[in-house]
Amino acid sequence: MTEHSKEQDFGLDAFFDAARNQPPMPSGDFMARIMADAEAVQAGFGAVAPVVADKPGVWASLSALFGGLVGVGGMATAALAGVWIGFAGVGGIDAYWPGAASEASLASVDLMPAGTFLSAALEGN
Amino acid sequence: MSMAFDALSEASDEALLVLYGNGDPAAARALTVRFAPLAYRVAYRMLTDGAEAEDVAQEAMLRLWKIAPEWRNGEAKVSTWLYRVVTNLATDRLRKRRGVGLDEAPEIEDGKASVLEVMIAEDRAAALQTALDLLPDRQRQAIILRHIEGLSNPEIAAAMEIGVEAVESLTARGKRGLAKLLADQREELGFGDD
Repeated sequence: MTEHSKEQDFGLDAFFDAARNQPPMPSGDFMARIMADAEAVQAGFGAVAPVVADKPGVWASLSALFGGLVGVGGMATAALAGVWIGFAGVGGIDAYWPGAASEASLASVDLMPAGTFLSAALEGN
Repeated sequence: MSMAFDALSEASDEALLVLYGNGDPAAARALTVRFAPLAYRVAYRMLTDGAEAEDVAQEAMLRLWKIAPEWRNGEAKVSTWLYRVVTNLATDRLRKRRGVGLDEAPEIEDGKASVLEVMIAEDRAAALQTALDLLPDRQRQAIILRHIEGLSNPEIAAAMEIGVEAVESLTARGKRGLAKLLADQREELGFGDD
C-alpha cells in the first residue's frame, strides 16, 4: 500500500487533479525578469571571482621576486648571517683573517711606500 | 564552456546549478525554464494573488542565483530548497497581510464555507484555490506540496523543516478542512455522485 493510498481521500482527488492540470502560469514579462536577474548575478561571478582568486598575496609576490622558495631561503640565510656578523663585531673577524692582529695594524699598513721607492726613482733620473 | 541548451535539459538540477555558478549562460536559461514556473506556481497557490506571487517567486529565484557558487552537491535538492524559500517568503507575506502570527491564524469554522459562494462553480481548480486560501497557512503549505506538487512526506518535512509526523498531521487536518469547505459546493461542481 502506498503512502498516498493510506491517506483518507475525502473525495478531494478530483479537485487536486484539476489543480495540477490547470497550474497558474507565469507571464512572459516575469520569465524575462527572472532571466535578466540570472544573467546579472552570473556576470558578477565573472567580474569578481577571478580577481580575488588570481590576485597574488604579498608573500607570493616576494617569493616570485626572489626566485621562489629556494631563492627566499637563500635570502633568509644571508640576512641571518648579516645579523650575526653585526652582533659578533669586528673583533670576531680576526679569527678568520690570518696575520691581521688588530685594527691598529690594519690602519698602519703603508699603501704607498713613497719614502724609499720615490727617492730611488728620482735618483735614477 | 557553455553546453547546448538541449543537452542541459537532461542534466540534474544540482549539475545545472553548478554549471550556472561556473558561468554557463545556457545553464541560466535551463534553470529559469525549469524553476521559475515552479516558484511562481507555488507562490500563487499560497497567496492567490498574481502580483504578489511574482514578487515572491522573483525574490526566491534571486536567492537561488546568488547561492549557486556556494552550492554543495549532495547537501540538498535544489527543488526542496526552492520550495522551502518560496513557501517561507509567501508565509511572511501572509503574516503581514493578516497582521497576525501563524499560531493566531483562525481554524476553519462551519460558517466559513459560505465564502465559497464567490467562487466559479464549474471550475474545480478555482474552487480548490478558494478553499486553500481559507486554510491555516501551514496546512495550506503542506497540502500544496503534498497533493498538488506531489512531494513525498519526507521531502515536505525537509522543505518545511519539521518532522514527517507533523507533515502527516498537517495534511490530514488540511484535507478535513478542505472537505468541509467544499462540501456545500460538491453538487454544483458536478461531484454529487462521488
